[in-house]
Amino acid sequence: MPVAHCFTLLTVRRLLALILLPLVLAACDPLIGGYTAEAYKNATSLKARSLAMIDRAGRSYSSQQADVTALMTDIDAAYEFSKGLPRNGISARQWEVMRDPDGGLMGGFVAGWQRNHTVSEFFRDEKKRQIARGYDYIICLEVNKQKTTPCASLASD
Amino acid sequence: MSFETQWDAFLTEFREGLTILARNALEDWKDTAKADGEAYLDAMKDDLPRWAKALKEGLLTKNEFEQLLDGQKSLLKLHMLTAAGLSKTRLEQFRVGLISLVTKSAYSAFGI
Repeated sequence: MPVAHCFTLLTVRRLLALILLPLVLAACDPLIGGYTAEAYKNATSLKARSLAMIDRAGRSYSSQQADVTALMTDIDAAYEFSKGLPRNGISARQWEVMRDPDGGLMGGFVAGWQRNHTVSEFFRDEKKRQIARGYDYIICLEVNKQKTTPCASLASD
Repeated sequence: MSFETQWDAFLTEFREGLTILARNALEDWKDTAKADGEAYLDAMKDDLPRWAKALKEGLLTKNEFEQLLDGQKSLLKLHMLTAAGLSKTRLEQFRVGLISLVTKSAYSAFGI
C-alpha cells in the first residue's frame, strides 16, 4: 500500500474520531436525572414540616390526625414526583425509606404515634434528630445533582 | 500548519485537560466519600449508649428503643443510597466535562 494512501487513511480515521467522540459521549443517556428546584423544595419544606409535627407528638395522635394525614400525603406526593422523573430511581428509593410505615423514619414514627397515642419527650427529641438526618441525605443528593457539595456542609447538626 | 501538527496539538491539549478533569471530578471523590462515611459514624457513635441509659432510667419504653434502632437501620439505607447517587453525579459530571473538553481542544487545535 502506498505511503501517501496510509497517511490519508490515518488522517481520515483521526478526523472521524474527532467528530464522533463528542457525538458518542453526548448520545449516552445521563447516568442520573438532573436537579429540579421542585424536588429540592419538597425535601426542605417537608423536613421543616416533619420536625414541627414531631414537636406536636406529645399530644394525642387523634387530636393531630388531620394535620398528620396531610403531611404524610405530601410526603407520598414527593415520592411520586421523584419516581416520575427520568433516571431518578435512587432519589425515589430515598423517599420510600422516609415514608415506609414499617421503617424507622417519618412513616414509622407516625405509625408508632398512632399505635401508642402519645410519644415521650426523650423519644421525640431523638427521633427528630434521626429524621432530620434522613432528610439531609435526600437534600444532599438533590443539591449534588446541580453542584458538587459535601454532605457534611448541608447537615443539620 | 499540517493536519499532523494540529492533531498533536489537539492530543496535547486533550491530555492536559483530561488530567485536570479526572482530578477534579473523580480523585477527590474518594476523600469526600470517606469523610461522609466518617461523619455518619460520628453522628451514630454516641446514640446507642445514650438510648441504653435512657431505657434503663425509664425515659424510653422498650418499643421506643426498638423504633430508634429501626431509625438507625433506615439511616444506613439512606446513607448507602446517597453514596450510590453521589457516585453517579460525579461520573455524570465527568462525562459532561469530557464532551466539553474534546470540543474545546478541537476548536483550539484546529481553529474550527
